[in-house]
Amino acid sequence: MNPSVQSWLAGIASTLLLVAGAPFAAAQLPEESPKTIEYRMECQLLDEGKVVRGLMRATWRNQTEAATNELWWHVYNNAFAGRDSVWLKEAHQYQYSGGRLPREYSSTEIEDVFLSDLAGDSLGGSDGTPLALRWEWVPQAKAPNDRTVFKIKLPRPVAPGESVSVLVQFQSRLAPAYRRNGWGSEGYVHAAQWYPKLGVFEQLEGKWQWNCLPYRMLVEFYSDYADFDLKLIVPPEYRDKLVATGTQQGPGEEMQDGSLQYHYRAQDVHDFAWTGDPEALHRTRVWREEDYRDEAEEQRVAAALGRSVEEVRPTGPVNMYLLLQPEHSEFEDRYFDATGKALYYFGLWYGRYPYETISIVDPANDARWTGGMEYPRLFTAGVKKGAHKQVHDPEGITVHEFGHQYWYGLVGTDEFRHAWMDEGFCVFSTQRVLQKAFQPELQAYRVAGFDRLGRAPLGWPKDGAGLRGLATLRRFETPKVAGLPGLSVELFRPDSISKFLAETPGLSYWPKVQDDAVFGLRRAYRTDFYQPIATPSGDLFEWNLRGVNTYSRPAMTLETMARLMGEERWTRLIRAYHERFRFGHPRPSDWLDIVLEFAAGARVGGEEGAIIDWVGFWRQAYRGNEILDFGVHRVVNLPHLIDDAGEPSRVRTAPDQWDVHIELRRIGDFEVPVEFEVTWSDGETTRHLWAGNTETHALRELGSARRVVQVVVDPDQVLVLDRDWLNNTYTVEVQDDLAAEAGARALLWAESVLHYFGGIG
Amino acid sequence: MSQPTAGFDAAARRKPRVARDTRPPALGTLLAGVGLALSRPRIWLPLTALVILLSLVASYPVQDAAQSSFGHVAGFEQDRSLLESGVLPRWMFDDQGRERNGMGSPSALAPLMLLASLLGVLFAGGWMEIALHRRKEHGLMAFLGGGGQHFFPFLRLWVVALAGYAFCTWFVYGLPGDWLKEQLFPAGDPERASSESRARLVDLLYSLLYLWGLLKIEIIIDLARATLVASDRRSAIGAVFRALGFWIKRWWACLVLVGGGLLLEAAVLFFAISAYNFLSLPLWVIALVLPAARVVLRGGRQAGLALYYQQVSDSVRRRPLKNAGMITEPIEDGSAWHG
Repeated sequence: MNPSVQSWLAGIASTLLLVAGAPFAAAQLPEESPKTIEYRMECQLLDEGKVVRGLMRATWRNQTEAATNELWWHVYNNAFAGRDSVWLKEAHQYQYSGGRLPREYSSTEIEDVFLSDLAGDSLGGSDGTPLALRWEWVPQAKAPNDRTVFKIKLPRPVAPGESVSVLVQFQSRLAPAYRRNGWGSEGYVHAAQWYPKLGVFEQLEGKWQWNCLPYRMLVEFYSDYADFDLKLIVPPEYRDKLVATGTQQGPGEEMQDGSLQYHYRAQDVHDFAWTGDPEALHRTRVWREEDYRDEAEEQRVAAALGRSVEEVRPTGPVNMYLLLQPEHSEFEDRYFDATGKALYYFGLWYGRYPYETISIVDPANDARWTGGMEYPRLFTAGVKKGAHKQVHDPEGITVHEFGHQYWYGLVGTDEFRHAWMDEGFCVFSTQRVLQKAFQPELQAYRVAGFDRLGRAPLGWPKDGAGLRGLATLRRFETPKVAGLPGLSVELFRPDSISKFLAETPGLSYWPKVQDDAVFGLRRAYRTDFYQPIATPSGDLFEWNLRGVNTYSRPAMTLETMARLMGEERWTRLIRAYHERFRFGHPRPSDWLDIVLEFAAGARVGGEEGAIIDWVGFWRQAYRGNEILDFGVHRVVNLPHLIDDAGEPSRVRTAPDQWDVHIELRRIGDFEVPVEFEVTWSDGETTRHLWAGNTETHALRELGSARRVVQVVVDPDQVLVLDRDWLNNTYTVEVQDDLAAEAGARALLWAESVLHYFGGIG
Repeated sequence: MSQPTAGFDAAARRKPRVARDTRPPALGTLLAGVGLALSRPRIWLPLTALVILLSLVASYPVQDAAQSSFGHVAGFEQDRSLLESGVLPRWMFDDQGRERNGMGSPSALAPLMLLASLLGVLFAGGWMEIALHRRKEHGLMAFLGGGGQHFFPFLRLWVVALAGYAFCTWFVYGLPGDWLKEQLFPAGDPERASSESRARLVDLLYSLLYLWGLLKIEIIIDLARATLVASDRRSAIGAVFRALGFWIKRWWACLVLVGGGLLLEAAVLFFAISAYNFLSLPLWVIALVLPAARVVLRGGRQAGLALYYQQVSDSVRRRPLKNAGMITEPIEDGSAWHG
């Protein structure tokens, strides 16, 4: 359709929906969070950027229906305080980074805890001395000496509606960057999880309790919305080389000793991080939506939501700050461009970005383990020099980490128990932004530190083999002798035929391979996932399952749901989810409720099609491990037989009549309605529906005047979760050219391998 | 001691006739070697056919699996990116099952690689023998006869070469390389370098050093082969020492010969890839032509190196003594003996 006609129709639809007063139009974005906590902190960066000493006044408002006489806190910097923490024990279990340990340990010491105010009463001494509070580390079953959670005993319970303020004096020693926080050798310091942070008091399993779990290797963070006020004193070399979660209140104030005091405020965020680097470049740009406007998409969203374009259009300005390594100056535009596009599309699809700043951190090289992390209003990215402009690693990580401003920051999901709710939604949204706003990515491999387009040469050796490996020409190994490390050289890695596709030598004759951002999620199928998405990340058997179960698999599930219900419903649904739970803590059941509310009645196969059972879909996709795989089993055109006189001897073949047999299989156990398309010899194409709840499905036409040419199951590629798309299509005529091409590529590959080996010795 | 005579002085004043440098030009010899190989289609055609045949053993299961698995697939093009992203359909996983039954290409490829390597040893002997001792021969039997004649000494060199490659790998990526990295980076880990640029530079230098090591081994082993054929000796270790000596004296020429040969092969590859990309040359044409080009170029490189070694050796043997230009003249006219 002509784009101008399309946008005109969309405008009409939008207007009609407004006139009709669609109930969705009335929904509004919450303006502010419940402000459960208020943190006021005065801190100083000491010891060449390795120690933060601070005094904090935290006020917690009990907005629940139950009283509590405890306050539970996260002290996640202590995850790296010793090998007896839960985190490092799990790191050993999962062999994080090949078993690498921190070079130095970090620690956060709680020096004093006083009660400042409890429901208007200080409860202190008559001379004004504050009441010292008892506190203790909470031992964990996995690591009794873990010190990532502590609790304060209050002198009396905090009733619903009351508030309590405590003073906490602490000192955090940061370590060389190991995982998510720490410093680099040239002054880079990334302060994350650097202060004691309150947990979430909420109802869990029918009981009001503090949700405040220890820092575990496979999980991230969860806390309540708060207002922050931070005064931070830093050495003079950090002048204008800081970025933070909050908005800077005026220029840095110079202290008597030459150090600088910066003042930050942040409202409606559930964490506060800051980063400084005297060596970095500090860049600023102002984001305005008109620089990124996509009118067709605005009109589509407005029409779907029943609102005006002006209402859905994200508004600015937003100050974008970038703390960039000088050797990465080539990436300045790419960082800003990706952040700007993400600001625009996330704002358009889910609701405007409510803060005045967003800070991007490009970590120092020796602190790259702080990269790729999200904090409210600040995220760390990370790039490698030599990235090709059509290889979207810099853009991918930037859009993804920005995306967490929405899925983690604004919708504060419980990452302890349901990490997929922020990562899965974020991956889903990231891939859509990449698909919408960027040229298709080209696959590449690295040579001498530069991206080369095409397929990689043979991969590097991996573990395995022994003498048997040598005997089969797979691996050559020598034992360790007198402290000298053994030699282990892979001679050949016989995975499967995938070898020639996945690791063809440089002369692969596939120099430019386009990647589809959304379909690329299907790489998750490389991993055999055997635990449901519902499994908390911390309980996964393998580290790499986290990447599947928390990231790509939920994203594929969401993409499948969006395609099943149609973009219009989906736009309304995900917008409603975001609007209802902005500044909230949704649970999976909340998501399912929204799905049932907005997607009820969605059908596969048009108006007369099959209604989708969303409860069943969710049970299979979320709680189960069922594989979704539909395929064509058999398609034949048999000559039609007619029996003139009812005697076998009189049976004959009818001219130009065919018995058409189309047989489909549900190879996996996942049940969902699916369409299939049949192309006939007369050129007509017909669509049919299969409820998908049986193991097989057949379509037969006996005595048909036309033959079937081709059958395609799920022709619109709705089911992104379908494990194998190649078995979804079947042409009656054999396609020799495809096999011949595959054979020729394999021949070339084998020739090359044998040629190289022929030259040895 | 008597004073030199006037005749001797006159001879000494004349510009001495220094013996002409008879060392052959390296690049010219390489091209001569390639010409020698190219002019023997009765050799390189069967060799090409053999390479293709061996490759077919490994690649046919792929063709067969593809035929049965997506012979009926439509819309392959739109799924191609998925295939190449490693999102593999069922048939590719099935290949592991075929492998267990000894039918898959991976299990076939391992012995084929060993066979290819041993055939490479045989062919190297053939090309060098043809170049040095059987120049009038154009037939396959003479080629194989030459290769067979040197097969076992070459086989011993093959073992030496494998050890050399292993040593080179260990040196660059094993203990010595790791030790150097520990001096350069915290914990020897380039990821912990304060500067990514520095880490990349070191990584690049390691790669270049490794490639240089491999190239040197290739040159030494090829030279050792040439010495064995030229001098008709049998000791692999002795050949390696002679090759090392030759390399020290003529390293630049050797580099031009072997490196030039490898560059020629790389150029052919580049041309083939470009022909596919820009001229839409069918893959099967490349699959047929490329092995032929490689066989000729590798044979030409080996023949050229052998020719070069022999010509240099001959020129050394023929070359007159030092200062010969000064002492031959008086001897000829007898003036040196008059006094």
